[in-house]
Amino acid sequence: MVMTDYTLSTEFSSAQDELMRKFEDAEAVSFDFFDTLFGRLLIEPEDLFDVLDRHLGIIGFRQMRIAAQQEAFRRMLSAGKKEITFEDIYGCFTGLPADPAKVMRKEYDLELALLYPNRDMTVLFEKAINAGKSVVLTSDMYLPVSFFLDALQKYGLPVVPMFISSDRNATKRDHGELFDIVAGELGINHGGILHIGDNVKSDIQQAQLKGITTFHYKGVNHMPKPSSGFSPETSLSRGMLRKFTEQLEKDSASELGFLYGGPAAVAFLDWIIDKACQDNIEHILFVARDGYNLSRLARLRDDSQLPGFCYFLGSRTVFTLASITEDNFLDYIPFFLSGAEGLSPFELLERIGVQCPDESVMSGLGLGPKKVLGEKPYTLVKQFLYAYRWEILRVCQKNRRALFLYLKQLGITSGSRIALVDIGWNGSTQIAFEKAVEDMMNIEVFGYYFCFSSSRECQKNRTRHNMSALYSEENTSPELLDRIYRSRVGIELIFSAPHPTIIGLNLSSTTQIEPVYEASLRNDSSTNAFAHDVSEGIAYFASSFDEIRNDIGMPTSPVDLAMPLIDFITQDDWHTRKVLHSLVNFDGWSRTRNRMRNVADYLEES
Amino acid sequence: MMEYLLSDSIFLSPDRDVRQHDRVAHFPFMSWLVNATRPGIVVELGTLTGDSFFAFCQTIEQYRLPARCFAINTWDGGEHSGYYGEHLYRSVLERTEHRYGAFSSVMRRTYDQALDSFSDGSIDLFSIGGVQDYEFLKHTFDSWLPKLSDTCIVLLHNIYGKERFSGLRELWGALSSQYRHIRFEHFSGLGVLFTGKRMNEQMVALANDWKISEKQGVIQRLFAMAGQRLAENARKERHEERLSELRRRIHELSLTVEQRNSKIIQQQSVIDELSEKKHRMESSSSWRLTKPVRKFSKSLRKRSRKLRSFVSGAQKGDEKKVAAFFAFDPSHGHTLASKSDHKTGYTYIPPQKPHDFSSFMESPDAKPVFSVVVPIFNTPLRVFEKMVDSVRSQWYPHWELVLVDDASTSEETLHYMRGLQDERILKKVLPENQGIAATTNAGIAAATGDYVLFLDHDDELTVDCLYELARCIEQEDPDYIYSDEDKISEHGDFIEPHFKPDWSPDTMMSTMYVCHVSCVRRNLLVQLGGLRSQYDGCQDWDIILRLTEQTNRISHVPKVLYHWRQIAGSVASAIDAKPAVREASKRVREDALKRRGVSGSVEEVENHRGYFRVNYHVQGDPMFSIIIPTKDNVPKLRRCVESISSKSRFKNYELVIIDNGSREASTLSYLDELREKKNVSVFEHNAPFNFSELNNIGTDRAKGDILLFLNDDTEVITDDWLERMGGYAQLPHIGAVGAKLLYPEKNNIQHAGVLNLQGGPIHAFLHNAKDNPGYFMRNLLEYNWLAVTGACLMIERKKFITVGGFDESFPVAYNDVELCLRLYSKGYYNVVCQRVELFHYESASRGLDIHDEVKSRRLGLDKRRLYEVHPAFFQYDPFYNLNLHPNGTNFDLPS
Repeated sequence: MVMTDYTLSTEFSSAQDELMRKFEDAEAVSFDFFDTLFGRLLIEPEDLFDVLDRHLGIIGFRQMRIAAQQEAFRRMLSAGKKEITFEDIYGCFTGLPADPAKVMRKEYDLELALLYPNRDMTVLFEKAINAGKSVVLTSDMYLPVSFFLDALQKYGLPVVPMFISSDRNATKRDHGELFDIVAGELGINHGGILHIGDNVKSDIQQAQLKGITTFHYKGVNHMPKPSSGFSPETSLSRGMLRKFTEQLEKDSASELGFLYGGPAAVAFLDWIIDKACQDNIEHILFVARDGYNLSRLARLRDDSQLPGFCYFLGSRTVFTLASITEDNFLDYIPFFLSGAEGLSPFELLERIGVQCPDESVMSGLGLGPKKVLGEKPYTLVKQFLYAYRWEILRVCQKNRRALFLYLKQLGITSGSRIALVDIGWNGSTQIAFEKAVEDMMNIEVFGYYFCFSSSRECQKNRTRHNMSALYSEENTSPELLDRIYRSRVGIELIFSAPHPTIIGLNLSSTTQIEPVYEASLRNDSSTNAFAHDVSEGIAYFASSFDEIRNDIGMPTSPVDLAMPLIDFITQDDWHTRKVLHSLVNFDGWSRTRNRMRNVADYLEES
Repeated sequence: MMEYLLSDSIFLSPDRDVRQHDRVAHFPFMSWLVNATRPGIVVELGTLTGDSFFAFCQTIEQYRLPARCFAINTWDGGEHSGYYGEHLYRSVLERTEHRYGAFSSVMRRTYDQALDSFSDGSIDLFSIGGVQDYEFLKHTFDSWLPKLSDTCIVLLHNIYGKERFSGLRELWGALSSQYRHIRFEHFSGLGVLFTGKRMNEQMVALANDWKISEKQGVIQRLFAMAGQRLAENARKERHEERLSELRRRIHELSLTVEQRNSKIIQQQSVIDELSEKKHRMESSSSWRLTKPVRKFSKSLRKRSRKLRSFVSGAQKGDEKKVAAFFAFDPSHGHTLASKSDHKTGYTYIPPQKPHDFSSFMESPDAKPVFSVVVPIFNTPLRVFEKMVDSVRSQWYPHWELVLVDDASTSEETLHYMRGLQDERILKKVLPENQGIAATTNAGIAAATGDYVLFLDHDDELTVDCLYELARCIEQEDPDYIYSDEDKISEHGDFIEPHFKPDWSPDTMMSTMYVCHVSCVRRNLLVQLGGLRSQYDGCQDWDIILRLTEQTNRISHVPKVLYHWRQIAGSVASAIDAKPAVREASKRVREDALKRRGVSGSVEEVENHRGYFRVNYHVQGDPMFSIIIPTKDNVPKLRRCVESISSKSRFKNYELVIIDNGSREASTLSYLDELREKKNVSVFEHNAPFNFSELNNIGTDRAKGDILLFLNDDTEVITDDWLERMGGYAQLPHIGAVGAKLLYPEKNNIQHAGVLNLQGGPIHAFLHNAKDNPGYFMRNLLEYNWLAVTGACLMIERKKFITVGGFDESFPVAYNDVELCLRLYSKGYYNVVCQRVELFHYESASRGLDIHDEVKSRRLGLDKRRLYEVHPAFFQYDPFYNLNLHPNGTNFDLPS
């Protein structure tokens, strides 16, 4: 009878009937350990050596470790043995600038820390025991039996007989001798044993040659791999997908968030906290919308180094408006008109939260809703803006007042040192903010960015303002910076918030700050839903990653950790992902009812 | 190990201002290279500012190397590099000759021309910069190649630079495939080619280590970090330089501002004289003829200049359209132009329905229903139609229009009303004429909405009126709402906008400022029994006075939502147009005083028939303590004290003089004299001047129930000043009471109330003629103000103590404003008694802070701190209006 209360959760579930049939017929079940009963949170097993490298600070540890293992094999063959042990490997190290026993212990601990029980198999494992079947573990592995015992106990799994190659001097891979030992010790015919494993040769072919029933399990191997040369941070962050694959829909926005946004956001936040500590920052303002996920992650952090912070309801538009007065109004006409091409005149006012004159008035001026602005110089529009300036200035003053009160409510006062966090690229939001607050209070502003552009404007701004970036020309080639900048829409999408752009601040009658969102267009809901799902993926990654990172205590490099996102958006075809197809007109400043733009259009324009 | 890299040359710092930090970022490597290779001849092509050339020179000098160094360029710019002028060449030449002349030369030649100056195989270090195209650079390299020695090293700058360095980038691409090389990626990159056949030991080590990725990383990081340090220093130095420059500019600007302020004061004197003349000429005209003082001509000229530059690019015909916004030429016939006030520049611009209107309507919050109640009597068809249309055009859909005819005799009116077929319109006809209050009450009785809105039969609502009221109700849940309004002239123009203050109970006793649009929760209106016929003409004023005694849930929508039609003989035209109305306006207030149990009289304002103020009588026999801080200011103090003594009609007062360390014999003698008087106390407080502290000390010593903080440079003019101010001060809702202070020289205004504008706290109507009515009679009637000056500030002792007295952290400026803001924040209203006048010899005794750099800076810091303490008042004054000019001390309309 086939069990019905067990289902394989992976895409491999189509083989469930086969597994259940074999399971029911078996007297004993043998579980392979690695990539079957347990998985590793790494892309390749050898990536563990890079993690160890980070811990030990030994450059080239991976190569040394591999060489030591090869030497151990060579010696094993010379000695006529059939398997190596952990001690054998560490006995073959040459020139290890640390105590080999300590390194060995560290490797043991890390290996244990980076394991996770694979629910597909652990449920079956326990069912088999409960059903009174004989259950064993089999593994071709140099690690000692104690390791497997520790793993089972760590996750509360029942201890069963273990057949580990290093302990038995016999393997599955070479001649399947380990299966003979299993059958012998259990006293069961080979045909009564079901062996479940992932390796075609060791677990399937060799077992079948011995007459053992087999089930080839491939559940933990699904994972998009980076092309080459990835860091231990990438291996760890990507490897985590194995553990959480059940919770993440393939090719979904949440998967994008988990795979790319999560590592980047965690890395950026690590870097920000470190910088804030160096700069003695008292308040971190994660500016909307790019700061949404960062502030969300910051709330999850239990980090004593993290100063006061908030998700700051502002934008370049808000800060710029807050800077405008009667005296400098004309200087800001270019700002009002930036990116105006393709917009209708009323949209110029709408995007700064200014109520437009009635349609009949605008039409009378030749600026009605059907008018679409072409190329500069927009002479008539400039004249209109000037004539209508008092309405605009009222909104500017409202923003200025609200911004001041907002800062005060956040506890920011003259003398404060604050960090303004933005994704990039040239510091224009920071400059607008500094300009807006210069007459309000004397605060020191530090701009923290994910990435700088390599433009002259950025370089110029950096000479005049406190600006730092996770990726800048100081650690990244100009070519890569240019490529990132050209694909910035991808990074902005990944970091965005599930709400429209904030174009103003309002004060309620009780002086509560209320954001003014840009006019909603019909596709807002899909953009917001996308941002929401990405954010969920990011938060999911971050909470899991932080936990694992704490467990293993590996120091991570923000630049390396965020690299999956950089690799992703600098691919030529990233924007063709199906999940991005429904996103249109998501850039608040330049969007218009007159034209729908998708990701490819934005990329082309950048 | 890589000991060969460990040289102190890496840590050499450039000893000059470095203009390009991408060059300084490679300074450590260039220094190290020169020291390590010890070249005989160094040549740099494309020297511009000399940043890299002087790196070579400085290293050569530092290590006393036997090298010669040449900088070659024409310094005449070009399409790629820009035309940078002669000064760069001069600067490089002078520095080379002055500092490094012993071994360095500048050659102003083309690269080809300079070739002959060097023999073949002579150059050991060859550096190429510049922004020329690839062909040119390739030609240059090929031409110079024979000149390079067999150990030569070639440096190519900016190989990762921006577009303008594409020539160098391409050259690097070509040469790096031919020669052994290394390259640095930081900043704009630096390429290093080993073009010679031989290399010295250190170069061999460098090139070999470069092949090992870990070592290459170490080398890259070493020089990048050293370069970064220098670039940061250079950046910091420039930052410092800029700061110094800014400080210098601020100093210059302060001087300019000071000069301008003197001019403004001079010009203001002229303006004052002209204003006075004008006022005398117009003294018989109503307050409406007094228009805001225009901005200074200078700022207007400046704006016009800028505007012309925009207009100059316009299409033919555009100027006319845009000019219509500014000139408001009625002959233009444009929608806006035809509805504007030519005198003030005001125009009403109908708004577009907001984008979130639908989402507001669809939100789950309950939407109020408005009953628009209109009493009808012989309404001319033309305006009747417009009134009805204005209601029907409302964006907000939940309304009913209640028309109540007061027995009209006009067939035209009755016919139109009968013909109105709209289920949203309720019609009611009274059998006989009953007057406006009774007719309105009939409308209220028929109304079913949540709120009643009063609309006169010839007026109009703006299209957004009910929508804005509904939004206000959703956010603030008020019992009563009023808005701003304007008037429709007999010519159909929108004129005389009244941009009102937020709820002002004392202003309400001086003038019916809330007027239109008025919207009341219907239940409350019914509870109050509706309008009262005995106040017909002022029935709306009466009901608002009564209802605001029952509720403090009062909201103001600072937006024109109502157009009041101005018809000859109507109240909209002039308040004294109807004698019965004038009389009723007096009676509604007398009735209010009676109802409230407050003793007072309603007095007509001098020279302004139809306007009344309330004189609250002092309750009981309180003692007034007049607290006067002073220091060595005998003539003024004597005048002040004597004026109090001789003018004050109310005699139950004491003088509390706080001497802040007087030293002059005449002062000490006068203070001794004062001590002899029975109602005078003199206390000494010899400490640095702190106005707040002195007054707080005075309060501690004072025995009175009512405190009056008075400057020693004032002189009392009005004999009932104490009791008039005291009557207000005793009202439970009143905090500070101010008076009108005049400059003695010209009898013009020093203080009539303090506004808190965009630029900060400022005296309203400064230097205006004292009898100038001001915007809606603000200079003559008792209005509520956010703040009053501390030069003459009265307050009940118990209230002063309750709020904590003056804040002594404001020793000099804004202490009075700070106190008033605190009072308002704690629910008190401040008021200015315009009827009470004193002279204030302020400018003569103290001078303006803006004339003193130190004082001016302190003033700025104090102002900033004022808003740090009271952030809710940053650029906000509830008794001003955001539709007025953000810095309009005369309540100017923006234009």
